[in-house]
Amino acid sequence: MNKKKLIISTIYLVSVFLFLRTDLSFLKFLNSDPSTILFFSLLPLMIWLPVNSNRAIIGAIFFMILTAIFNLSKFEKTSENLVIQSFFFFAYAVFISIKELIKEK
Amino acid sequence: MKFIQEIFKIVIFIISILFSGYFILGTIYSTIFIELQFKEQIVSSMTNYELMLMLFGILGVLGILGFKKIIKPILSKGEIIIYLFSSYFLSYFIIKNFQFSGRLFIILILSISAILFFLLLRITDFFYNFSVLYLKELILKEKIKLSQSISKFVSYFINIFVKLPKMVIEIIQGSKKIIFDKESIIKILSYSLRLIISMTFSLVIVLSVIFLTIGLTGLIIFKIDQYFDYQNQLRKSFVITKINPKNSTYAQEVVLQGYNFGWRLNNRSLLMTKDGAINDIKLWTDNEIRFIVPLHLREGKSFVWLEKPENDNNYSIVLKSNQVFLNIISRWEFYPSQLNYDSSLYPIQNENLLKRIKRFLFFKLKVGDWLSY
Repeated sequence: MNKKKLIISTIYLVSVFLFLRTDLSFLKFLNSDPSTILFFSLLPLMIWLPVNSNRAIIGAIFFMILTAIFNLSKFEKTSENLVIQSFFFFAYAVFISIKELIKEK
Repeated sequence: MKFIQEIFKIVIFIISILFSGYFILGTIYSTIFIELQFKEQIVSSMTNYELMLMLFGILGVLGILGFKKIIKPILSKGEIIIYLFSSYFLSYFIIKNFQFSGRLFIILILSISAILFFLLLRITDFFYNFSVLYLKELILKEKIKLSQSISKFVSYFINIFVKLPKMVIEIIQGSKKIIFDKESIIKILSYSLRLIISMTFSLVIVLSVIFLTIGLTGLIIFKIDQYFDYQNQLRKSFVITKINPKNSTYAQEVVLQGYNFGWRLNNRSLLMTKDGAINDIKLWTDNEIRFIVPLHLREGKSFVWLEKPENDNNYSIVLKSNQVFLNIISRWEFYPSQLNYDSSLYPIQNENLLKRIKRFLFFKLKVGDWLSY
């Protein structure tokens, strides 16, 4: 990973998390679920970096494994959050692969 | 001077990286792993205002240290969008915490985000081209000296080792000659001294950086921890923490903030001053009270405090909160008096215009507490 990209992405992350602490009226159309909001706040960074469909799928699988572990040990809210994350990562990967297919044609 | 500046640079570099990393990981952790939270996370339990002050400090110092003329910032489209996003978010965060009035909101957001955009460019430049040339030179010089002195030291040591068997034989033979030459001992001593001195200089640089970072971060964490202990104690007690505005006049609304005011169940819970109770209370909740300054208070400084019964029983003890200052300014400081009305130049009179400006500053912008003496 590029050094400059790392610096810019940390600045972005700090600013986004500070923003999320103040007011969520901006993101109320997402039904104010913290895990969803977290993903959508990371989305611009993922598009910019860019995160491949392969990488996104690896992320989704990672979150799936984590959900399995947490669900077995009966942490309900945590496993819910992790499921949401894995779903979004999977959806993102699918969209990106569709985009790549269209580009190829 | 350069030495101190560069050590300061390194310290700020390390602290900002630690802070940002801790903040990012902490927030991700606390949003996803809700049930696995640590008991007292320092960053997540910080209020927005304190975070903002910390951010201001780090941003300001980084902005000053990273101040360089950027000739042509080469930015791709995606970078510009990310910068715009982050500067907008930061400015929104800053403005929301200052609680400016609605009119200025858009202008302030635009101006502050424009300033922050360039400041963020500077900061990325600072981190990207991070260099401590002066310190590097110093260390390199010392390294050369060190290597020279080490080689000399080793050569002398080897010399002695070569001489050793001879000496042993001489000792065994029982000769009473002085075995060591004085010169060689002196030379070894001097070289070892030089070696120690040259080692100490580079060691001092490294150790000072380590101690400064550990000390500063430790001090900050310790102070924050102490502060939160204090805040936790405040939250459990019956206390007024803030009065806004501190300087006001008659018939204006004043807000008290604090903890455990309770609900106003009967007439025994009172808002008291030395001139009697205040009855015109618009809102009474557990941590906020809004009241109108009554006419029977005297001008000047007066104390305000709260009284509430311990429970619903009529014979229970009355609890008193702490006292806060409320400065009541004469209403003729803000509104035109009869003398003003009578003058022929009334609406554009000098005094009247001043009063109008004062009204705007105190009651519209609500910056009276900053301006009043």
